[in-house]
Amino acid sequence: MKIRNAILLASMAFAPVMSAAITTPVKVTFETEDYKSIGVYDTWEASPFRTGQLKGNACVTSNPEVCEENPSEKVLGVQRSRYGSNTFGVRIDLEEPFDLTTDMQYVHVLINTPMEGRVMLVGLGKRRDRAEQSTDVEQFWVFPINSVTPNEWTDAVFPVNGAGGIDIYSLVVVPYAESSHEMIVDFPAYVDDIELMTTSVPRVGLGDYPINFDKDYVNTRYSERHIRSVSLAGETVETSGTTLYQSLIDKSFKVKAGESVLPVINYLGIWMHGYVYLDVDNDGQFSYELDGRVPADGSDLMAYSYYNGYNHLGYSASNQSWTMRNFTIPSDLANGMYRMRFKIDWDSVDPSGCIDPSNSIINNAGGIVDIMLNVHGDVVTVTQGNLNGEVLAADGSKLNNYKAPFGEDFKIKMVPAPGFEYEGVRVRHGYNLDGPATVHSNPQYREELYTYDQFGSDDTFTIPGEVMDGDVLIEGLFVETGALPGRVNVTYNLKYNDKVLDTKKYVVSEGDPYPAHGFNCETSGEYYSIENPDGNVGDSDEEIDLELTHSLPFVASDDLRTAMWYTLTITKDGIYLHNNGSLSYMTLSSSSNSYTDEDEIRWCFVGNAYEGFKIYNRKAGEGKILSSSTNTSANTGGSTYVVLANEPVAEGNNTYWIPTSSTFRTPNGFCLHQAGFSDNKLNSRDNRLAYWTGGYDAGSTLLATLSLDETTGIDFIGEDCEDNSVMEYYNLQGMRVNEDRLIPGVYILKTGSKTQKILVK
Amino acid sequence: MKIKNLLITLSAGVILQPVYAQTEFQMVQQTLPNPDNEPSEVFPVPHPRQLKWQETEFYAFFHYGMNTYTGLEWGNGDEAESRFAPTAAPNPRQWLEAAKAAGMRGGIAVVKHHDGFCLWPTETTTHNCTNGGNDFARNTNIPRDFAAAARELDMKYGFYVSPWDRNSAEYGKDTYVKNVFMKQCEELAKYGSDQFEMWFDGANGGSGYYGGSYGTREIDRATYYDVPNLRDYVHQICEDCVMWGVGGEARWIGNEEGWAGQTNWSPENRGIAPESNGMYGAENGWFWLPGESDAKSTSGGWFWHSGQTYTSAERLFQMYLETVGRNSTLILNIPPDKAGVLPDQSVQVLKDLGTLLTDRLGTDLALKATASASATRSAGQSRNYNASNVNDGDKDTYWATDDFTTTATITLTWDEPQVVRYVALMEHIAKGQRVKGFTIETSADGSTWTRMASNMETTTIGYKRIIPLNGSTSSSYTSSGYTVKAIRINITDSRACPLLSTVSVY
Repeated sequence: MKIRNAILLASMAFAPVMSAAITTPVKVTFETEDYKSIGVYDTWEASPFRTGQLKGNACVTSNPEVCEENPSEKVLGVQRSRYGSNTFGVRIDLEEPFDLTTDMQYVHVLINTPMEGRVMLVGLGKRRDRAEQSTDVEQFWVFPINSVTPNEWTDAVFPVNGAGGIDIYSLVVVPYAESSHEMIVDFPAYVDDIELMTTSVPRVGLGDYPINFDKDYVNTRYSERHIRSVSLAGETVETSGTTLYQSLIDKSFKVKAGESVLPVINYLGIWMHGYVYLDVDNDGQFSYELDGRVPADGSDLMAYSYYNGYNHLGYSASNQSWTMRNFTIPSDLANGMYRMRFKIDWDSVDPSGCIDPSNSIINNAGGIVDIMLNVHGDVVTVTQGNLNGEVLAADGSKLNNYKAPFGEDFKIKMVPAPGFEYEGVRVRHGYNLDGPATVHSNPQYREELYTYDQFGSDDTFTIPGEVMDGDVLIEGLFVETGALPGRVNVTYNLKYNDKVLDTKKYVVSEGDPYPAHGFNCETSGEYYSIENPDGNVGDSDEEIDLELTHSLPFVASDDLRTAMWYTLTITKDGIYLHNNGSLSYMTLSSSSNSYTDEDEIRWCFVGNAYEGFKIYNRKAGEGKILSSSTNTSANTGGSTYVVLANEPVAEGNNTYWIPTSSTFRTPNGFCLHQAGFSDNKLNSRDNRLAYWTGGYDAGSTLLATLSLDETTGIDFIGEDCEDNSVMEYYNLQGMRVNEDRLIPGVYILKTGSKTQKILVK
Repeated sequence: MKIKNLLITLSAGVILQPVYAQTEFQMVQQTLPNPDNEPSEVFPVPHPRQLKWQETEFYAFFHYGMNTYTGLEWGNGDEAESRFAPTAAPNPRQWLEAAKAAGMRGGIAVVKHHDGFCLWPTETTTHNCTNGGNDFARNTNIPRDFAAAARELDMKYGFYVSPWDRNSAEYGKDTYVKNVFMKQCEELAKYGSDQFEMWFDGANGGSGYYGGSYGTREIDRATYYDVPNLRDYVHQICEDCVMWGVGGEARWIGNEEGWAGQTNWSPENRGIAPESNGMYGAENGWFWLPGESDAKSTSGGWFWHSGQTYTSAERLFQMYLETVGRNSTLILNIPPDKAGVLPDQSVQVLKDLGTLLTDRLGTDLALKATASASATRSAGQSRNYNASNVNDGDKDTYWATDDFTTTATITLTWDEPQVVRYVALMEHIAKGQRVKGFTIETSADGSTWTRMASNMETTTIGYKRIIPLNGSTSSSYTSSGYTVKAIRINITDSRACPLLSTVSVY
């Protein structure tokens, strides 16, 4: 085999792709006559090489550049004529045709051409089931997946596939697939070692952005030395894995041309140096010429902390540090994606890593990180192209080279044609959107798919700002009406005691489960329930009432006339909340005897768990509720106290209170905070009702004890009852009495483990 | 273009000095006689069939079929054949007569849409009009009648046949292309070797009836239809038939709104560029793939719908300026109704459009102007490249500059002042598309010049570029116009020496 068994320093662009087995081996070496015939071909039918005006010049010849990449003696030479079109090339008729399968196969061709430009492969053949068909029918025209470097042997890899049932009889290698109108001379180009393979990995050549070690090499000193992250212009990207080489080309830093930027390598280790490269001419290589102590003009070497005693600015530098200084993005750099390389190494500007055995990048456990640089402007261009509908900007503007701000959310609107709806959009974003997805293995653009269920009910969608990172092409995916699972509007009304508290709307697909209701309460989850509908959405819009139910440590009322009045005690000592008539604070009394009127210590909760509760005092009556400023001065000390304020309360004060569970004073202990201000929990300070933002404890825990049921007129007297669950009424003779048969008199009330006397009025 | 490490002797037809040993590759001297001093092609260049196709410029689209009777835009393929029941014998001649009145030079008839229902007696499926719901249906043969009418009216014709077939049980399988689709194309090709276009919709794959199995079938559009061999076969029969869309010889312009990019290159990177680039093409595209704009003249969709409204002639004229006037062709859809004829309103709109085109772009004032140029290519033995070629009424002559002269000015002058509103330019695209930038100026006195339409992207020309001098395509026609004695076109940038075959002034 004449191609050396190369250690393939395979470019990361060639995630090795393997197809099904080759059915017809194809290998043309030109060392022997392992082909049927050779000549030239032009797809341009009026070409002088097809009309017979000119005869092409192609023959087997000696290898003009015998080297490690191609040590063979004989190659195929062709005179690339200036009279041929952009698809003129050398034709090789194969000894046996090969099957152009539906599975992808790869034709590898060694090419050596002096001209920089595209190369192409054309396949000539016929359908097997058409005996009369010419074998010269053009079947494919492909560019290689890798770039061909001028004046070097490069293994160009051409992906080929077809409809099946097709045989390829001839291959045409086009060594310069550009318009020849500026050519004033012909030039020779060379082709060798044509082979049909199942792998896309080039057989030879260093490929793009080579490194001097195996890209999969695992850093054996990782635990003590490795690159943690790289940063530029304030953005940081972390590495992952333990290989010495890290490819982060799916990520990019974003800068503008002319910007001064600071590169940072976060490296675990000591005694190493940092280097940064930028492929400004996008040629797949990092040049690193120096002009004395500094990078030469046009060099891809942007910055370094240390080389031969100096940093990239030409100043003396410490040889112990990889800290670099700013460098400037070339001001004439066009918007686009560029490959950057960050390297930790020892005193070496070689972008592939130092290979000096005494200080190799491997032995020193340096590292290389490749990442993309997105050079951008202030605006990006947005264009759409669609069948059966249109995508507009949300303001109705047409998206024909529309200018949108870079990096900012962009809202679009779908306008299907009559008879159509949309299943989503495909968004291609980046640069060179009409070209190949990668150039020198550098991603030029990405594609995102957004489906219809991500759109609003008004057919709008906001493309995230991170997608607006270059030019944008939007393809609306329009399908005929009815093709999609029906989109159904589902409306939830949250209700409590027949009152609608809130409404939420969703657009979902027919047959999907009902969406989660989305009514989020500050109240602890154990204190309320909102049941989501079961099952799947039907084929028509629905409006569903969802009931809010309570399981609170107290009973809430709709108004004072039906209130359940409670005594409220706070702190572990069970201090009573007492309306002392003060306008400045509520007293916390150590015993219930500090009041003159029992109603001074009776409180009720009016409201619901979703909105919160107003807290009234029976003595103060209607029109006054517990309230204070939400801008509390609390934690320790401070002067914010809760008072009974006139309704409506002043701006900046709270109306509602939210109960949350407490693990103190169980089982019914709870905390109260101002609605919307979960940190502002009630607490005791200076025997006054105040706040504590430090969290909650027994000091912020309340208990509610039923004192008077307004609906029944039952007046609860006696000891605190900590269990307000099941209530059993007994007459003084010990006989159980139904609650709805209570008549005025004294009864024994048993609730859980507690028993007390009550007076029914 | 970069030339690296090359020893060259700078003269035409040179031989490279050999740098290798005796067995090294030997260059040979080659010269190609050029007695007429013709400019070299700027590749890619159009195939002759693409040139003829481009000259059609403006033509009609007739969406007629099962959907006319079901009210759908995309039938599912499970429609009973009996539903196709025209209330009269479909009349393709009436369609084309109306189209011709609009100034259209041809038409494309839909003969099989995604629903798979064929409007001719095909051998490939029973889902065709011979099993239709009445005698009108069963006697229908759209390709036959359409082709015959077109020839009688001296118009070009072609057919739309959907690659995607939601009725066929074989769609998505290996057998569909060979047993159904290619055979259908072969049958259609035989209706006339003078077809100018076969239309292959880009909508492919999805849900459908598929012979009763229903479900979704997806295909790889790049390979499934075996387009290279399909093209080869059709061209054996119809040499000049351009295979549109999936067929790979003309591209979709990228929208259905009736506009092309002001910068619009016919070259494109076929096989790589996304369809949404269709409005613009690619200057360095490797293949000549000119754009065609498809647009509707009615509101309901591509097929006829009860209650549909009709786009005004003025709006259609704007579409014309933004398509034909921007290096694209325009295929305007006019759907026949259930009687198989164009509704009266469509007929009237088309007639009005024809009147607008005739009134506004029918009288070429350049024909009586004197043309001059700042630079002119040296003449050859039998042809010259004089400025006068741009207004001699002969599309095969053209003005050109010498090689490497990429900027120049063409000036038209009149003895008497002319009222002008539009300037149309045409490159000699047989040798490729070249112009990258131009400006237009007018002068009322021949010495003071005013830049016109400065708000427009006066970049590419291609086959044809029409510039409304007031810079507006939506309100291009003003009663006053501009009174001028001279107009000059400044070519400011070009890929190679510019070649203008025609300058028209209206």
